[in-house]
Amino acid sequence: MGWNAESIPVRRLDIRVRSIRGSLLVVNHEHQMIELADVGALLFRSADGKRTIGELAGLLVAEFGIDVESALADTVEFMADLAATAFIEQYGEA
Amino acid sequence: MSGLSNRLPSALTLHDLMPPDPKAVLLVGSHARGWAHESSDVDVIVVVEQPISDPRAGGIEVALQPERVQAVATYADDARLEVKYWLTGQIDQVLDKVSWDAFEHSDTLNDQLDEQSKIMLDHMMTCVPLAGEPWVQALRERIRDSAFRAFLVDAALNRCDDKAESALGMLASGDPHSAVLAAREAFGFAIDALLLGQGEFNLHRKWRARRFRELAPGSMSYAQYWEWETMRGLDPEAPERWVEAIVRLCKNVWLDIDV
Repeated sequence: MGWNAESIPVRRLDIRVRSIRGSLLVVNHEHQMIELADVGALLFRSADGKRTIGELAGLLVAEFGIDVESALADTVEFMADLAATAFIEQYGEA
Repeated sequence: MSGLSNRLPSALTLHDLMPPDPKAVLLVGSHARGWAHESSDVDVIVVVEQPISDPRAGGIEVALQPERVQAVATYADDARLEVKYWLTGQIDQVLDKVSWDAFEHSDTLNDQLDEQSKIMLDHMMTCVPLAGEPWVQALRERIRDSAFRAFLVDAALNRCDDKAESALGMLASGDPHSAVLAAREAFGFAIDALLLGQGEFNLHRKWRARRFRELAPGSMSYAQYWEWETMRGLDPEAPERWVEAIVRLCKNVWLDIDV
């Protein structure tokens, strides 16, 4: 399934997350670990299965002053990468 | 404090339970928290430099040197009074085991601390000092600076994740009743993690609701907590939805906790 501004990302239930001093350590079901901070942590925290990619990009615009077009492109790419590595899925996909 | 706990200093002397020159004398447990009921024991910790010489003293096993914490139990004013004599050297060893270096290099809290040591650290944070208050305040500062809280939070989150993932696996394999029980356990550990995240180290399940009401941790209200705790939303004919909802809640509890 492709990702676009209307897609709704949600954190997978088979991951494990720890917030340590502001950064997120995330482990997927294959025990691959990523560390997220700042922009990545904000997007990951906000991927609650309710907000669209477009709305998440809006958070980046508000929080980091990124222009709308770049924020949308970055958010789509970020979520697609996390989906490919089994950290995120599209809402309703499970 | 009430009843015997108010008269503790004289009761300890009367029953020959007070060693010379203790570093601190502490009322701990339910009486110190204001949670005592009619049949609650009165629990005391006396901190000493050297072992006491009391023929009544038994030993509680700990993974420290010496390997036992001396303890004397007796009755005073019809209440059971238990006094544990922790050595300052044993307390120092406990704190060494929950350093940040240990947290970053060891697997679990259970590798580090025995149950008695965990309970002792909790008691130190919530005790009522009857003597040695400056010593207690200095120790509390050391506990706050240690990784004890991080160890406990991480352990609770791991157990929460384990049970939540078991519940999903049981649902997938067509065993919803086992899934309900596993999800229920996951929820308990999630709440423990939330409370531990707030610095509440009391691990007894019987006090969970009370601790939650006092601390109101994270983004969950007491009413929401109690609804889940009492399984009010569970439809016995179709438990799958309840399991999925509580598992999602449990798997997101980290949002409210910084380890």
